[in-house]
Amino acid sequence: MLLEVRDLVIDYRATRGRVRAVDGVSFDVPAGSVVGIVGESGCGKTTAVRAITRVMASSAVFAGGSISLEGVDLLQLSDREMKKHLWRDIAYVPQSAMNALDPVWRVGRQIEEVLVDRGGMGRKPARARAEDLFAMVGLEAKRLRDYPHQFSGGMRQRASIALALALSPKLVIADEPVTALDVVIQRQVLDTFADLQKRLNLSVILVTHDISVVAYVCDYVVVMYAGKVVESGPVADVLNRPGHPYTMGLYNAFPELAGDDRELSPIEGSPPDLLDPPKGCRFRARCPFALDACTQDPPEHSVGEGHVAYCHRATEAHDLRGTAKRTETWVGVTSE
Amino acid sequence: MQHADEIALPGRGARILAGVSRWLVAASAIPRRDPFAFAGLLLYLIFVLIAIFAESLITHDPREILFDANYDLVRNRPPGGDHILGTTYSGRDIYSQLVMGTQGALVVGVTAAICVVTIGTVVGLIAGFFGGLTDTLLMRLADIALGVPFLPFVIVLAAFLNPSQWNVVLGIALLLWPQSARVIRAQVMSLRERAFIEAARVTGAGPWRILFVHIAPNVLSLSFLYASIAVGWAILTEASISFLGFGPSDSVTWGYMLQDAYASQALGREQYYWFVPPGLCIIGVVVAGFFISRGYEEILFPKLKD
Repeated sequence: MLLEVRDLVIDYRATRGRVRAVDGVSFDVPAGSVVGIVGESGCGKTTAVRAITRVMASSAVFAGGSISLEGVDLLQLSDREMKKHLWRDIAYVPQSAMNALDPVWRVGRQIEEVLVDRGGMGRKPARARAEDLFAMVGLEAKRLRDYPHQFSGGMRQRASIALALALSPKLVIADEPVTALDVVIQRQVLDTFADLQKRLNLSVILVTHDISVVAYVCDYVVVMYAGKVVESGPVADVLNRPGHPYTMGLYNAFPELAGDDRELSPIEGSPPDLLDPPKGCRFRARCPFALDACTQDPPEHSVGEGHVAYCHRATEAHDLRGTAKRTETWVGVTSE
Repeated sequence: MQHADEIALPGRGARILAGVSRWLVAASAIPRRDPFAFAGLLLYLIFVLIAIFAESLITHDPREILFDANYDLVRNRPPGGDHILGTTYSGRDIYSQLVMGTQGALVVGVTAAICVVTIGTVVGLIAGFFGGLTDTLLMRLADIALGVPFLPFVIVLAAFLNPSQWNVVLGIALLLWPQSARVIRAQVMSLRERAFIEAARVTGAGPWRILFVHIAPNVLSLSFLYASIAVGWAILTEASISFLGFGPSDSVTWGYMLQDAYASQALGREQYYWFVPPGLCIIGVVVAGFFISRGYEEILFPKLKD
C-alpha cells in the first residue's frame, strides 16, 4: 500500500470553538491506482488531502490519526524532513489550479524553478525536462515562453499537471482538477490525465464533488459527508450497489460525463454545522430513509469485497436503491 | 492562435524587434491618452539630459568668483552677453549655478527615492507576509516615523552630522518609507492568500523564496509608483533644507541659490533673473514628477479614471 490514512482527525480553531472538519477518516491508496474522494463543498475532502502535504491553514490542528507513505508516518516527521517529501514524493494540483501559476513569471520559468530548487537539476537539463513535461500533457514547447495569462483555462490546467509531474512523484493529489472548466475541456483534460496515469503508473488522489468524474477515471472511491467517510470501495461496485443513501443521492444529482440522459434530483438542504455536529448519522436530516435508530452512530456494513458503507439500513440497500432512483423520493425531506 | 504564431515568431531577433516596436507603439499612445503624463515625461527627460551634460553646458565654474578685465567684481550683472542669466551679488554666474543645480537635485531625488522605496518595500513585504508580532513591531515603527515632524528632523540630522546632501538623503529615507511600506504590506496580505502562493507553498518552497520570488515581483509596480512620488518629495525637501541654510556646503543646489539670493536681498533689488529660475525649476521637477506618478497610477488602478 502506497498511502494509508488512519483515523485522521483535523480541527480548525474558530472564534466560537473548534470545528472538526475531518473526523476519523481512513482510506488507502494502492500504488498505481486512482482514488476519488467525493462529497459536497465543506465536507472536509480538501482538508483531508491537504493534510497529506501538511501545508495547512495556520488555524488547522492535527488532533489524531496517522498518514503513512510507504510505512513512514508523515505526521511524525519534522518540518525539515517533511519538506524532503514535498513535491518529490507528493505533488499537489491545487483547487483552482487555473490560478496556481504566478502571473509575473513565464510558465516555463516556473516549471524550471521547481526542477532546480526542489529537484536539484541544472538549468539546461531543467529546460529540456520542462519541454518533455509540456509534451506529456499535450502542450507545445514554445508555449513555455508564455505567461499564464496567455493560456486558456484548459492549458493552465495542463501546465499545472505538468508542474505536478515535474519530479516524478509517487503520489499526485489533484484537488478539483477540472471543476472550473467547461465539460468539453473537462473531458479532454481528464483523458490526458488518465492516459498519463496509465503510462507513468501514477498513484493519484482525485478530489471532486462531481461523482461522474469519479466514475470516469477512478479505481476506488471514498465518499465523505460532514467530515466522515460514509462509504468507500471499488468504483464500479460503489456506483452499481451504493450502500449509503448519500452516495445514491450524489449519483442522482450529477449528469454523467459520458452516457445516457436520466432525470437529475438534487439532495435538498446543506451539510450540518460542524461546530455542533448532530449525534449519530450526520446525513439523517437530509436522508429520505432516516429512522429513529439513525440518532445512534451507524455501524460499518460490508457491502462487497473492500466495499463498506456506514448506514443503519445498509442491509436493505437493495430496496432503498430502487426508491432512491425516483426523483420524488428526494423532495421535501429536510422539512422536518 | 496557430496562425498568428507562425507569422509572428520566426526567431529571437525578430521577437525582440517586435517587442521594441510594440513598446514604441504603446509609448506613442501616451501623449494622446494622458497629455499631462506626457508633459511630465518630457520635462523630466529635459532635466535628466541637462543633468547628464551639465559639465559641458555650463559657461563658468558655478562657484568661481568672477572678475572682469579691469579686475572689478562681476556683481549683480543683468542677463545678457557673457552671462545668460546674469551674476550674483558675490560675482558668480547664475546660469551655470542653475545647470549644476539640476544635477544636485536629481542625484538627491533619485537616491532618496531608491532608499525610501527599498526600505518601504522590504518592510512592507516582511510585515505583510509574516504578520503577527513582526507585523505589529514594524507597523508601530512606521507610526513613529510618520509622527516625527519632517523638516525639523532633517535639520537636526544635518546639524548633528555634517551638512552634506547624503545626510539629507538619509533623513528623507528614514522618514518617508512608512507610506510605501503600508501600501505594500496591504498588497502583500492580499497576495499571500492567492492560489499561486499556496501552490508555491505545497511545492515545498521556503518562506523567503516565496516572498522574494513570488510576492515581491507582484508588488514591484507599486514600489515604482512610490519611487516616482518620492523623487519630487526629496527634491523639495533638499531645497527647503538648503534654503534654511542647513544644506550641503560643497555643492550648488537650487535651494542654495534661493538662500543666497534671499540673503543678498535680491528680492529688494528686483533681481528676478536670480531667484525666479531656480524656483521655477523646483516647481517644474516636482510637478513633472506628480504628473508622471498620476499617469502611472491610472495605469495601475484603471478605476481611478472616471
